[in-house]
Amino acid sequence: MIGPNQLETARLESCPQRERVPAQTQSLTRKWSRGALLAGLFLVGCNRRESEQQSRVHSDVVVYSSVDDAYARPLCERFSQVTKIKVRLVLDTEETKSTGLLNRLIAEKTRPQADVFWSGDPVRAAVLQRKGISAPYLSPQARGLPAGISDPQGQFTAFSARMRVIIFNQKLLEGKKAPASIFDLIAPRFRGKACLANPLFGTTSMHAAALFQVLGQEKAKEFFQRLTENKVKMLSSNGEVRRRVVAGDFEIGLTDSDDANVALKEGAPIGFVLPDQDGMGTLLVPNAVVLIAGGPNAENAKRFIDFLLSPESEQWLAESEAAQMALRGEIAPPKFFGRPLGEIRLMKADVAPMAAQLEELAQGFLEEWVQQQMGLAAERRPSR
Amino acid sequence: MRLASLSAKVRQAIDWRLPVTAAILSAAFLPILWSVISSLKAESLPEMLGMLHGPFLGALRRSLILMTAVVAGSLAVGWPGGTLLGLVEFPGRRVLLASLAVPLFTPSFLWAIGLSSFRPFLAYRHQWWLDGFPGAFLTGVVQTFPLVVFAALLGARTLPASLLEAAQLAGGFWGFFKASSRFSLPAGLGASVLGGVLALADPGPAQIMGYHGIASEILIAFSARYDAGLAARKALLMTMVLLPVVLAVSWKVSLWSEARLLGREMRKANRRFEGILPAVTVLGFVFIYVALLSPALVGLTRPLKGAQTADALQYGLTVLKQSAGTTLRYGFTAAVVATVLGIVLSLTCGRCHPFRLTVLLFSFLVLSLPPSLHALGFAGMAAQLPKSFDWFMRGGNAVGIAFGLRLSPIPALFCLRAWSVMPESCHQVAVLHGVPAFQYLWRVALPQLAPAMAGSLLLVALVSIADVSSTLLLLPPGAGTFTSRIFGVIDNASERILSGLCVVYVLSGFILVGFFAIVEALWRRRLGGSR
Repeated sequence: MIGPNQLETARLESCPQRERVPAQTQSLTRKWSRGALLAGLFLVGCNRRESEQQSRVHSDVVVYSSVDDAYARPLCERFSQVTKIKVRLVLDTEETKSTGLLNRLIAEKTRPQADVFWSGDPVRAAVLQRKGISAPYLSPQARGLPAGISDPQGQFTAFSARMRVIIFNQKLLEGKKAPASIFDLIAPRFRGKACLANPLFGTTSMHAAALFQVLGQEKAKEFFQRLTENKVKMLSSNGEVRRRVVAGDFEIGLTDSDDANVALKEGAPIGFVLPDQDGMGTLLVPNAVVLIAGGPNAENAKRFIDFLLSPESEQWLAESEAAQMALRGEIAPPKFFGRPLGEIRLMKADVAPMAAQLEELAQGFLEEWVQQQMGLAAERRPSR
Repeated sequence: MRLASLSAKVRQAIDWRLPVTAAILSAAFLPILWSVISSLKAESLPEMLGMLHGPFLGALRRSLILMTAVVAGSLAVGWPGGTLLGLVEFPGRRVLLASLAVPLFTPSFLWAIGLSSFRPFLAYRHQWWLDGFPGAFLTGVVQTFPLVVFAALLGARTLPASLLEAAQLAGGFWGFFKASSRFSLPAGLGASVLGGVLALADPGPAQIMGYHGIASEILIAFSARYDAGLAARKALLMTMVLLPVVLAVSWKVSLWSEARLLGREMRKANRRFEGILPAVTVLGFVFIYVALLSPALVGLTRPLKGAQTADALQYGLTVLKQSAGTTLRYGFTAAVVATVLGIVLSLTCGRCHPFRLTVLLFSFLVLSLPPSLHALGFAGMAAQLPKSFDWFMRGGNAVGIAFGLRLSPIPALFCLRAWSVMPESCHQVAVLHGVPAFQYLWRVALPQLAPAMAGSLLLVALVSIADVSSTLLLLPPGAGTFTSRIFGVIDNASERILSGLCVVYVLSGFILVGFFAIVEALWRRRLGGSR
């Protein structure tokens, strides 16, 4: 067996001059290795501590939410202040650039981490119901909320709502008549000057499903076909619709009321209308809260749901920058809407069957329509 | 006698190499495999074949076109640029190198949003430059070319001095540059293919720009149909179609690397040049670099004007304070896990060509599959395992571990290359003298691999910090990284808030990379001269 010195000599002799590894390198390598070992032990320690914290189930509630950080976080903090229950939040957005928390909930179905899913729209909640991920809970705080929008068995409960609105660039429409209906998107005067988000995702998909329900298959398909003919541009998200209309790339765009509110708060030169007030009405997009079946902190989850459904939370959401319309008539509407919910004509769409309807549309007509918009129509097989 | 001893060593090596290599590759591939297997049913094969119709093939064709264009574009900018930066010393070189890391740690969707927000600076008739294919291509190139620059730079830095000096004597600066470029091409090409594959698997920019590729098809399966199984099958189909392309490129790069880079003189050439030509070429590269990056950066920072700018930046700093620890921790864990696995892989492969090729192939495969598929597989496995595994599968380091597994091919590629440029004589001498393997690794091999290890640590940390889709699927409840916080507000926060967050993110990342660059420079100085 050779000793370390012989090894060093053999190694140095074998290598050309510049290949030699300086002694300092070895010393540094040893130091770095020790450092890495210590860091590794620290990380394992951190991980174990975090895991232990996670197992302290009684003081926590885990909330997955697709509602924006700016609105979800403050409300969760209020809940923690009131109840001393810590909310551990995981957030997603309605933007179409990620796989989304809903898929995470589906993947975790066997042993969920989440206790509550707070959805920005009721369709995603209905999807969870269809997949057997939600559990029924009829909150005592739901009294006063309209019954027709929520699931009667309590698989999801709807509260404060946004609306689908048409925004328009005031500079570009100066002196011209503002749009009043979603059918203005297919009017010749807006040819190539209107935009909407991808109808396979987010609230636009809910709007599409609602149109199929209210107008019927044939008229809805014709509407979408005419959108294409009128060169209505499909963008990636409602946020992008807002950005492009504000920038003046398009005169009008179909988006959500909170997007319009953000643009107005920033002083953007836009206006908005609640579409079809003389016709089929405006689509209401309420939040929905779901109790997750088999979640680790069921009692805390129910308390969180009670808190979200309370009149105080609705009031807070109405007064905050979210500018969400309370579903309880006695709560004052946000200034943004300018009138109470009772005075707004709403689309008569039934939320419960929308999830199934949307699934069917997503692998049928809407998928084809999106592909057509993306210029893939020529590549489509002859018939389906 | 000696030959017999060597042969025994080789046989012994193959005995342990195979299971170790297989174990690591399986670990990296397992979450994806989980997703795929759990989605496969009896009718899956006919269904998969049924998918091979017009739109799917059209999307695949578009993705391949985008990938090819990104590979070509990033190579065209990055290869000469990286070679140049590897050859010429000039004031501000380290700052430029640090700034090149910015696109690597910035999420791709931010570049796409930045480019999209640049539209108001263009007349409407010119805005098509930022739509569809051109927009997706620009975003892909912006994200990929720094990778090519770094790879080409590393290639150029290890050139034999005698060769370069001869080229310099014969052809001056151009001769020197051309000779270096030939050597840095394999590394640059490998990096550009890697970047092209990552661009192909990333749905974000394509969605924003309106370019419907295969990643969008997979995203629709995920986010419009909530069918992870369908997404897995589509991804599998995409991989099967891509396999011949990836195999061919891996084979070529592997052969090329070995032919060009194996055992040779390691003395460094003189890198100080006089005259106007080197200065002009460096300035030319800087100009292209600024031209590529500035539209997106200008687009992102455009809303920052007026009295509320300070508030927006303040908000960004608050988010930084809240999320910096978690972000760095996940990045660090991912980097350590990936680098350890990568080193072990490179050591098991050594100079054995079939092993190297297998690792290259698996590396491209793992990286070409959508990150979400890997993350969902990881989350699905965690849900199936007993609660006692939660500290590992669902704890704070789960994000880092999952990233480390998925990105382990990157350090493996780096270390394979570093291993191949180590003189074989060192290894032979150690074998002849009966030096224990561990001692040889510890005292000879690891110090030689150190630069590759450091590079891959940094790269994996940056890439994992920039990822959002996997992070969202694995993040422990209550935790938040900086990028996930940005993602949480992009839909409804004001443009100013988003800009404030982006500026703080990019600046803090730049400062962090700059800090590493300074530490690295001091380390080199301590070792006595530049390598």
